[in-house]
Amino acid sequence: MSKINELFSEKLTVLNIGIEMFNSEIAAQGEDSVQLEWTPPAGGNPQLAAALEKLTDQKKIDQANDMAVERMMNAKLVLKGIEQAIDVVPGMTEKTIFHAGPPIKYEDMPEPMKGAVIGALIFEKLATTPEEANRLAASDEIEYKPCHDSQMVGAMTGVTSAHMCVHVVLNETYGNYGFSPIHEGSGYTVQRYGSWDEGVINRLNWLHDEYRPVVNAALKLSGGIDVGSTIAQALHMSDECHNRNKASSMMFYKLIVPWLLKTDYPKDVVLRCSEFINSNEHYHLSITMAASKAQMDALNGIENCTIVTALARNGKTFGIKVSGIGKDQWFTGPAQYVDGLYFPGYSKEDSTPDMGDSAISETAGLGGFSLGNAPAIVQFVGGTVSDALGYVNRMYEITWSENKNYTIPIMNFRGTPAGVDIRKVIETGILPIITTGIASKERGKGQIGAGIANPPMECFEKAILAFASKYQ
Amino acid sequence: MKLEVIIKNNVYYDSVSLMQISKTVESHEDIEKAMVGMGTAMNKELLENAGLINQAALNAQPSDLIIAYTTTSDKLTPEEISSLVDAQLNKQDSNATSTSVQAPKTIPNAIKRYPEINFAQISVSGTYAAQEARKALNNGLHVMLFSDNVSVEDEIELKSLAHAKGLLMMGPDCGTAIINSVGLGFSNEITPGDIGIIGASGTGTQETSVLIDKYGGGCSQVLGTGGRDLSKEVGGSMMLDCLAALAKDEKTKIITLISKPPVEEIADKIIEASRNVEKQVVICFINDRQRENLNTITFTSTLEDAARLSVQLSTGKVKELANELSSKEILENAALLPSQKYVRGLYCGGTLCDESASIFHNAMPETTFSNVGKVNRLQTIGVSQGNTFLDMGDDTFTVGKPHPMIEPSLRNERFLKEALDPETAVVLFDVELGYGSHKDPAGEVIPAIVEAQTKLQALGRHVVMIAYVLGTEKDKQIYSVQVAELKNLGVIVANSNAQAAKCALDIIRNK
Repeated sequence: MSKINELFSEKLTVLNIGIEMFNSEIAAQGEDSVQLEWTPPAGGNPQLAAALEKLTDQKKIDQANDMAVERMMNAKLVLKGIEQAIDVVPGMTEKTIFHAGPPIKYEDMPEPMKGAVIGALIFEKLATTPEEANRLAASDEIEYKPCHDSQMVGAMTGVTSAHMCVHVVLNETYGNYGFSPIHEGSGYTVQRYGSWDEGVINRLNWLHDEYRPVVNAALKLSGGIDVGSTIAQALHMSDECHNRNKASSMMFYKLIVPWLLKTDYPKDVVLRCSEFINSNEHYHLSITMAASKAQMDALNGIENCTIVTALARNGKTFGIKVSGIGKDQWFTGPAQYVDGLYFPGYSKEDSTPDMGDSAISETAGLGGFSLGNAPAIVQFVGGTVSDALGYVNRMYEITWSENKNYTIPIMNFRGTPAGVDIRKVIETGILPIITTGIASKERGKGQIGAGIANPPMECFEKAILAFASKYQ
Repeated sequence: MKLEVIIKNNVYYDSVSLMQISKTVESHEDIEKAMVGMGTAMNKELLENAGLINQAALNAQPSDLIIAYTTTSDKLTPEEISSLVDAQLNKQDSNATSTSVQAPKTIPNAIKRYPEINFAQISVSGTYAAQEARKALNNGLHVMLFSDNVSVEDEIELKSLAHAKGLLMMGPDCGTAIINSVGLGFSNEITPGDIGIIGASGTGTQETSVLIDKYGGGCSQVLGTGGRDLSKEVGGSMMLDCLAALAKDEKTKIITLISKPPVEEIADKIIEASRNVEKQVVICFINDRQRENLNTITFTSTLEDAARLSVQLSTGKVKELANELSSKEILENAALLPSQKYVRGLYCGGTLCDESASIFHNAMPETTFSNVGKVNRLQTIGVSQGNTFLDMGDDTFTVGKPHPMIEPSLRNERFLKEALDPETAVVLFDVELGYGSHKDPAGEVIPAIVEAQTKLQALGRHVVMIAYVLGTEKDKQIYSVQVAELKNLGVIVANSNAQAAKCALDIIRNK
């Protein structure tokens, strides 16, 4: 029987695309119909629409994307240790500074990032005063690189130097590593936000000298901690794993403490280390980020794949990477201001535009993409749980698939939206949403709020044009 | 300026909710700066930085809620702010757990969400129409493409894609279909039956289905192909696929094909395919030359005959329609002046316009003009010549406006102009009922009729008005109600479009 004859014996269910009156006429007949909320693909831009059309309904792309999502799902992400960046991060030298987002020169960096560089140079003993550090930072002696280009991701400024400590997460399935500097805790006075005072440098030294060997020993004893499992459970405990990390941090504390106690270190040392974790409700963000990076890097360079592997910002520009284009190519546009809630006394005028590599969470289907998991922080998006779920529903429109491992209980355990497809972003005009912290525009003033950010459409426009011209 | 700090012991609220509440407190007219937060070390640091700290705040525990603010007002009491915070903390969102349902934005997502979808009705602007149709087909949906302005290359590609997938690709420019008794586009509520229509013309298909209903028959399926399907380039691709499907459809006994006359090569192809169908096929090439009937194929050249013959074959009898019009009687009542020589036809339905123009063209080719079809072209679309038939749904009239079937009042201005032209003897017009059409299309034209009649009366002249109401008693606008609205104003209402045109022709010839 032909499909047409099959239709004659089935119940007709219409998808109406266009004039809404036709939809209501079908409804008036008591029949089922669905109205598509249609907008011109690519916002009506003919050049983009042509590129989009070339890439739509292409088996090669669809198969590549299926493969990419499969790699996301199959990733076994294990926290293996804490190491000095120079020992593990490819391309790190004594005089290399890694930073968040796409490439940026020192003079173009936002103030908090410059401050973070100064802090890093003082910590590395390459300079003793901020003035000296500033001169060195602006010289050719220091090489700047995006974290993302070297298997690393850093929250906020992401500024990381040779002897800073990074979490090391292994993607056991595909054998690649992801790194992220240890989260120093909340408050203003952290190097991550551009502080370099004595307390900040002392903390970095302590992390290097005492914390690193102790926790590393515990992790070695444990054989590694399954990060994917922690994230999956934390999502069911009201974390979205970007802006709310309470559950995952607590779980990590619960998992690591027994191993800390099994090391040979004295009780007071173990206590200091465990208290450092215990006192920081965002501790696990760094681990989640390193794990997400290891997860998404396994998708690099899949021929014909239109899935985004990086969303990252340096406070000036927003950059994305696309699997099928390759791991070294950024598509950039200006970073946007964050739409958010500010701490008392602060407003948008005091803020640095969107900054940090933490949007790796969204890239992997966390953060804004799993906002439905975190009713406690829905104030970011208008204040109601239904607003949050509405955002998540939007994200399904631009992702290739759903995450089997990360699920949303309140949505009947539907998987979080997984794999941002540049074609769908261009087609629908819907941008990924990122739940993020807001940095002050000044050095060392720390976080001044939190909210929601979007990448500029320009990143996706450039990406789709590049993809269409590469794709044959 | 004074600082107030309120501490609530042993409560816990998530920091983000508290940030929202801080904002609310801060927006109080008497408050300069405010912060509501748990007594954590970080919050104390924030309070200090904002100048909102005092000893009470410093002593607060992480399980204590700190409400700190500065005010210049003496009247503002801590109780007021405390209860403001309480109200915010305990605010319930009635919708809190309901999932907000947003309409899907793309075809694949719509199907993912509603897997039962099997059909796409597309009416987006021509620039995007082909693309959406292609997506729908690639996602396994049958397609009815209402949009026009789709290139013939796109049409060929879409139809061959549909053919390869065994799917319907009705259109572009397909205005009418009834599938499984569900009316799509512009269509009428008609009796189910065993006649399957495949139409390459919009209102022609609609007219045939309505006449079948009136003659006492019924339809199994009404399929549209779009007006260009039987062109040489497209090659009748959709009509052939539909024919094959109806040939196998158990509920269809008679198949009725409607089209403008195609080029001979395509006509042969359609006829050949129809011969291989083991069912009776009625082929109506509108206003075509006489053709010899074949074994199971009957040819007609009018929609009326196509409907009549189909019902005859289906039920063995045709219900006769009462009140055939008498042009003689009309003429006697009208008292037309010698200067009133012509008919002016104002149509919402394209095929109906075409049909009427053809009827006139066959009788008086020199004086018949239209903006469409094979008759003489009007020199200027805004100025009528001789017997003029205007398709008001043509692009020249609809740029930036809805189709007159949706908004019939768009015709009124021209209606008035034609009625008042001293050369006009008859104004001929159509009124379409059914799904997609205006909810009171006759009511929409009435102001123009009344105004014309009033002005004509003052001029001492009378113009004959003949309408055809396309619709059934079951349509939401109700045929008899719409007809009565017109008849009350002295408008003559015909039983078919062809009858209306023939009556007008008789009047012009015999006056």
